[in-house]
Parts: sequence; C-alpha cells; structure tokens
Amino acid sequence: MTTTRVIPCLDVRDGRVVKGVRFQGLRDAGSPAEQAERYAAEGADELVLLDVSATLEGRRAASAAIEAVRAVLDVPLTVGGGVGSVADARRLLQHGADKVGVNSAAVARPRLLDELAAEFGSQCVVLAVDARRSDGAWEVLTRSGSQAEPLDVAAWCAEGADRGAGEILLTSWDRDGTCSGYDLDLLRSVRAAVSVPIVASGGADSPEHMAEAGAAGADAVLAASIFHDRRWTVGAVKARLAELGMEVRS
Amino acid sequence: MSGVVIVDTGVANLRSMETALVRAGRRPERTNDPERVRSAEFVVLPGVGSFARGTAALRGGLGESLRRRIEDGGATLAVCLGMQLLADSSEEDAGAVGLGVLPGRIVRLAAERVPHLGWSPVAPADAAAWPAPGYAAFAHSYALPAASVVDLAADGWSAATCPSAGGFVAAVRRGAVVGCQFHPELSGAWGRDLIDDWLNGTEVGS
Repeated sequence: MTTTRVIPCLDVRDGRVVKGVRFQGLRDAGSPAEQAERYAAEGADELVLLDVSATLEGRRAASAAIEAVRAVLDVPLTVGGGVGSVADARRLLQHGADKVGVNSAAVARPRLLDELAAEFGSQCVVLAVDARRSDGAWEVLTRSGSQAEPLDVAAWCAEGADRGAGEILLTSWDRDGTCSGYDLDLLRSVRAAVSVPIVASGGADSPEHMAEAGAAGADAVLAASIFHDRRWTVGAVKARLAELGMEVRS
Repeated sequence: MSGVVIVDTGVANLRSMETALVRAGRRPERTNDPERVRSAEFVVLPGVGSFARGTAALRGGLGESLRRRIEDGGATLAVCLGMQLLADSSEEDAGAVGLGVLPGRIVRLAAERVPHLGWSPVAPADAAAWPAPGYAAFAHSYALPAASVVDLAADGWSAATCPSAGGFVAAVRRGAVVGCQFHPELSGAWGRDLIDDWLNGTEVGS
C-alpha cells in the first residue's frame, strides 16, 4: 500500500548544508544540489530542505539553493524555515518547493495554517513541530529550539491538522543529532492525536530505528547525519527496511 | 501552434512540471490564453488548491478550450487536481462543475490516513496495459472512485488504479489525452518515462 518514505534532510545555512547536535554546533556538510542529486540517485523518496539561516543574505542563498536542488530532483521537495505568511510560502513554491513547512510562525499565529491550506491545499502544508520532553509530556519549542511554548505537542498537532496542515514533521529535540533512535513515545502520542501523515525526525542512526518509528505510527522517516556522514546510503537503508518487513518503494 | 504549454491559472506551483519538461528536452511556456490552449501541440493542466478554485480559474474560455481539445484528442496531460477538473463534479465543492470529459464524481478518500501523501503502487485496470506498473508520488485528499473504471471504459478511456487510501483511479488515458492523480513530474524515473511516452506519442498496447 502506501510505502514508508525515507527522507534525507538538508539543513541549509547561508546556502550550505549544515548539521549539528540538538540544533547547535553546526558543521558544514556539503552543497545542497550535490547532496540532493546523490540522494535522489540512491532512491530517496522525498527531500526536506530546512533553511536555518539567520540573515537576509542567508535567506537569499537558500532561495538559490532551492532552485539548484529542484533542477536535479525528480521527487517531492518540502522546504521550511522562516515561513511567516502566504507570500513567503508562495515564494518557496515558486523557487521549486512542492510542500511548505511552517513552525514558529504557526505557533505565534495559528490562523496561518488555515490561510495556507485555503490557498494551496492541505497536501501542500506541513506543520513542523520541535518537541522536548518535559515532566512526562512534550512541550513545543520554537525559534530553532530556543524558546519553550506553553503548548502540549499532541494537542498542538491535532489543532494544526484541524486547521489544515496535511502532514506533521515531528522532530524530537532531545534526540536530534544524537543517533540514539527516534522518540517512539512521542510518535505514539501524536499518532493517537492526528490522522494526517507523520514524518518522524530526530535521532535516526539505523534502519532498525526507522522500522521502530514505522511501527510507532510514522508514515515517513527523516534522517540527516547517517546520510551526510555516509554511514548508510538511502538505497542500503531501504533494502534493509524491506528485509525488516516494511513496504518501501523499490 | 506548436510547443508545450502549461496552463497557468495563477495558483498552481508550476516549477516542478516545468523542470520535468525541460529534462525531457522541451521548452515549456506558461499561458492562460484560451487560444493557445486550444491550439498548442501539447498542453499540461497542473493542479493545486481546491476543486472550486480550479473550476473558477477555468472560466472565461480556458475550460471550453480544454474541453474541445480533449474531445478532439489533442495531446493533453492533466495532473492531480487537473485530472479531477476533467470529471463531472466533486464532493469537495458541491456547487462547482467540472469539464465533464471524465464520467463520474470525485470523492473524498475513504482511508485511515488523509491526505494520501507519498509513494503508492499503480497498475493498469484493463487490457490496454497502460501504464507500466510502478510506484507513483501522490499528494491528494480526493480522487475518482475505483468503480468508475466501467464508465470510463464505456467512454473509451483506459485506466490504472491504486490500491492505497481505499482504492481509486490513479490514471486515465484516451489516445494522447492523459490524466494522472499522481505527480508524474515527481515520480522519479517511472514518471519521467510516462511523460516521455506522452510527449513522443508512444501508443502503449497498440
């Protein structure tokens, strides 16, 4: 049936791919277009590009990076980072994104999700949520993980889906870059709250971690470090997932 | 007039389709001119947003041009909402009227997970054996129900179905007119072959 998607993630700052641990200590991990081309050739089902630039110049470089990635990519591309309005989303779509991710701005003004869905359709709107464990539950983090919000993650995801988000990109802040596996309890908690697809993110170090995420309710598994560091190719991950009994696009 | 044109209704994301057509060696142009849509050698009708929005965008001559070129068998590729706009109507917007070249009503997917996002298998539903079975990239909440295959056949359409998301019609074809619920421009090498076949007029199964 619908296959589990394997999605390499490119965090892009000032036009270059970067990767850190818990959103900090970013190091250079290559050219976005070169990475995209390699991952597409390896069988990536989709790509996520998150612009983590802090400056206007950085944003401009990201626009060029999106166009360069689009030119070499023949699978879906989700782009997020700094989306605060319908106009921002349209700009990303015009540069070549197929779906748009929104995070902090939706927390600040939830109606943005309704507006994006009305303009582009739910299938185009991805609610990106950064979650941190807190007293047995999960709190929502915004501003690249720097600000805690008085919001329960599962409740916020449910509200987001009601407002028109067609997918949840769920990142565990605790696991990000730690290679210790996805936060499965977090996935189960959000799975119970929404019927839209969930992309698991944060902590993947092996196909086994991805299979666990699928069993916990993820429709897609996102990873960065294991692909950037070339510990696994996308193709090898998918072959292993198939051995583990998951349906993947061959 | 020759060439490949993409119907630009002002709301759709055209970049991925343009990129795919460039990859296929073409130089696509955007247009909202009904005359060009009527006479171009190849026309792509992309789709994004809602059914009502799509039908509204086709008023003022565009829809009529599309209907006539499709009835004449002019090479036309309608993608995602674009394919839905070829049907009679849609559950999404009860008052909106489609182009009526595909028999049937678009319905909301009866599935555990909606929208249906990602890669699912597509296979021919009839002896036309089109397209080659493969995985296609989908992003939608509505579709033509699988039961429409019979009515489609009666109107000369061959069809392919997808078993995911409750089952639905994934693609239709009548000569050079092709409708895809999936995004061939985002469906990797398999999608590239489908677009190439359409542009090269390959009659699969004939």
